[in-house]
Amino acid sequence: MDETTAGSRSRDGRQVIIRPVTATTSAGTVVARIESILKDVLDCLAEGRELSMNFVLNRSGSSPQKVHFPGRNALEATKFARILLILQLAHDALVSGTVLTKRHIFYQHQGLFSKQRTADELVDNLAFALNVQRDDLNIVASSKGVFSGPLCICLHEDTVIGPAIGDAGTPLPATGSIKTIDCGSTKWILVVEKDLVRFNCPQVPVFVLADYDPDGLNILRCYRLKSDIMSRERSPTAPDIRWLGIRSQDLLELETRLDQSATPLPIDLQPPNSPSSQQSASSRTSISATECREPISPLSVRDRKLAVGILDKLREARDDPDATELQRELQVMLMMSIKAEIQWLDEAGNLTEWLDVKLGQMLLES
Amino acid sequence: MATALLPRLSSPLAFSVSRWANFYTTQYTHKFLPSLSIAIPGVTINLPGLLGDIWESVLRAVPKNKVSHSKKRSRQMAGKALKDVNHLCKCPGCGEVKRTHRLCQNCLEAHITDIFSLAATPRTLISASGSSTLHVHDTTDPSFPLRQSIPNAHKLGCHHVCTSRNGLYAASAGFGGEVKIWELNKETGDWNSGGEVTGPTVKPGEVWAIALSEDGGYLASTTSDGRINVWDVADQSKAKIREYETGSAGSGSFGMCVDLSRDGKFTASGHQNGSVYVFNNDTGRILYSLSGLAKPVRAVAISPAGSRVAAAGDAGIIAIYDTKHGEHVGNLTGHSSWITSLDWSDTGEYLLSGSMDGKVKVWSIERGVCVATHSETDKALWAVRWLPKTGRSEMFCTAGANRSISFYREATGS
Repeated sequence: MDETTAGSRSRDGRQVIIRPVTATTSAGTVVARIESILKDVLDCLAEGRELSMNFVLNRSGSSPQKVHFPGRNALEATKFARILLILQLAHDALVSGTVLTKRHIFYQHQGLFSKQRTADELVDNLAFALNVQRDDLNIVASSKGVFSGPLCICLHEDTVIGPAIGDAGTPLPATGSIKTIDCGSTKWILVVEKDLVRFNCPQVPVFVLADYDPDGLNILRCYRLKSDIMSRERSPTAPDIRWLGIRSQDLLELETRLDQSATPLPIDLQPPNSPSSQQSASSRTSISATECREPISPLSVRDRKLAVGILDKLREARDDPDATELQRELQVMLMMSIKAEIQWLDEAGNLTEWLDVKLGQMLLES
Repeated sequence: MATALLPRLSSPLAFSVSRWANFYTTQYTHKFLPSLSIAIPGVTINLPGLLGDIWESVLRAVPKNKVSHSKKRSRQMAGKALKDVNHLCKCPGCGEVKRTHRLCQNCLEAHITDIFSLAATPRTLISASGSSTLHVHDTTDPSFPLRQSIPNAHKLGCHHVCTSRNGLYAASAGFGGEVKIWELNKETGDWNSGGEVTGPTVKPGEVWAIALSEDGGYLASTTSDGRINVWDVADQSKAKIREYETGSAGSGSFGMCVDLSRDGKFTASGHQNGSVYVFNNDTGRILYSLSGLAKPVRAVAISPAGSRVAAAGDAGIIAIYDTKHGEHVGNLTGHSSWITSLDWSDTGEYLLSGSMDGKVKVWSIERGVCVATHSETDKALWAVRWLPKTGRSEMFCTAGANRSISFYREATGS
C-alpha cells in the first residue's frame, strides 16, 4: 500500500504544472503518436540507418534528445530496448482497451529493467515525451492492497467500506482499524499475495495465490501453519485456507516440457542447413506482448538462504501435512533452482483463464 | 414367513408376494435355477415402497436364534489369550528390534519425500532424499533390501550424495549447506561417519553439487557464485586445496553439477547460464569453456576413459565434447523435457539420462542413438545411475519425485 492512487495523482498533478498537457487525450491520438514513433524506427530500418527515436531523457531537459540503437554504448542500446517494449505494451493496452500497471510492465521483462524504478521512470518520461498523462497510456501505478467483490469491511468508527464493484478495486484500510468483515453471500475469497496481510474470515474458504519463490512460500507458511505471528495473536477460528498456486507442479507442466518445433536449438549446436532452424527463427519473429515476458528466473543467493531458513523453521512442525508439503516445494525449488512470480501465469496481463480452471478444480474437489 | 404375511396384504400385492413364495419353493429344483436368478430382480422391483417397509419390520420382529454377546465372546476367546512374542531380532538395516521373518516397519517407511540423489558402490546403493535419513541398499541381493539407514545425517534433507570409485568413501551434501564424509567399514560392511567438511573456508550454504575422486581423497564442489572448490578430505583437517573461478570473482553463474574424471586429471562443471567448464587438475587452470547449451546445465559426466564430457540440462539435448581439444563432437536429441541426470556405463559404451517427465533413456555412444526408453512414472526423475557390473547383464536404477527407486536390468548385449 505504499503507492496509493491519490499519491500517483498528485505526482501527475506536478507533471501538469511543469508542462501543460491537454487533460483528456483520446486513445486514438496516443495510438497515432506511438505509431508515428514506431514508423520512424521502421523507416530507419528500411533505409539502413542507425535506429533512433526522439525521447526526453530527463524531466528537466527541455529539448528532446535522440536515443539510438545500437547507440554509443550498451546502456543506450538497453534504453532503446526498454522504451520500445513500453511503447509496444502501451500500444497493445490502448488498442485492446486494457489497463496495465507499472509493476506488470516490469515483470514482462525483469532482466531488461532490472529494477522496478527503471520501468517507473521510463513510463513517466515516455508520457512526458508523448505530451500526454500517464493514465492516457493506459498505464497506472501498481495497485496494492485492494479488494474487489461483494465484501464489506466494517471499521471501528462504524463506517463501512464496500462492497467493491468494478475493475479498479477498493483500497484496503489499515489492519488495525478493521472491526469485522462481512462476507455476505461470498462463496470464496481469492487472496493474491505480494505481501503478507493478516485477516480472519472464518466463514468462507480462502484461496491463496502466491509467488513461487521463498517469500511466497513463507507467506503460505504463515497462513497455513499459524506460526510466528499467528501463534502470538489470538485467532478465534482459523479460516479455511487453501493454496491455489503457484506450485512446482504448475511450473513443471508449463516450463519443462520442450516443444521441439518451437524451441530453436542453441546456436552453437545447430546442425548446418537444418530446415527447422529457419522455421523456428521465423516463428520467433512474431513478437507479441505475451512472448516477450520473462518466463522464469534463477534463484539468487538471498533466495537460497531464505529457503534454507524456512526449511529450518518448518522442522518445528514436521508432522503437519502442510509443513511436509511446503518442505517438499522448497526442496524442489532449490533443486530446480528457479522461481516464478504470479505474473508468470498471465497472458499479457490476463490471469482469468488460469484462475477459472484452477478455482473450478479446487471448488469441485472440496 | 411370506405366507404368514399374506392375510395382511391387499390382493394386488398378494400376487407379487405369492410369486415371491414360489421362488422359495422352486429353488430346490436344480434345472430352474438359471431362470430364477433372473426372476429375483423382477420381484424386488415390483415390491411397492409400503411392502418394503413392512417386510423389514417383520424381519426385525420375528424371533431369531440369538447367541448372547458374552457367550459369543467366551467361545471366541477360548484358548486364544495373548501369547508372548519371542521371535524378535535386530533389523540389519536400521538396528531397531523387529519380528523375525517380517519386514521392518521402521525401514518400510523408507523415503517419505522425493529422492534427490543416488550413488552406487560395487555392493551398495546410497539414496538421499528430502528427509534427514540416508538409506543404503544392498545391490548384491536381487530384492535390493535396505541394508542400513543413517538417521539424522542432514536435518533439512540431502540433495546430493556421491561415492568414490573404489567404493570406500561417500560424501553427502544437505540443504542446510553441510557436507559429510562417510567411510565404509570393510569388516562389517557398514557406513560410518568420516567427519564433516567444515572450517573457516566453508561458508554456510556454499556447497551445492559434489563429486569424489577415484580413491575418495578429493572432493570437488560447486558454489552459488560459480566457483569450484576442491578439498583434501583424506586429511583430518579437510583443507581446501584448490579454488577455480568461472567468471570474475564472486559473480559466476550458479554451479549446478560437477564431475571428476576417473584418472583425476579433469574436473568438469555445469552452470545455470549454460556454460560448461573443464579444468585441468594438474595445472589448476581452466582448460575449456564450452558455452553451447545456452540453457541451464543440470548434469555433466566425464566418460570412464576421460576422453568425452557429456553435458545436458534444460535444453533437452545431451551435448558430447571431446576433452582433448574441447571440440563439440555430437548431440543426442530425443528428450522432451529438462534433463536432470547423466551417467556413463562402466565401459563408456552407453550413456544413461533421466528427465523431468519421468523418462530414462539409454544412448549408444558409438551409434549416437537412443537404444532404450523407459518410464515408470510421469513424475520428475532426479537421479539415474548404473550399478557396477556384477553379473552378465548391466543394471541401472532411477529415483525421483515418486519417492521410490526403480531397478532395471538392461539386455543391451543382444
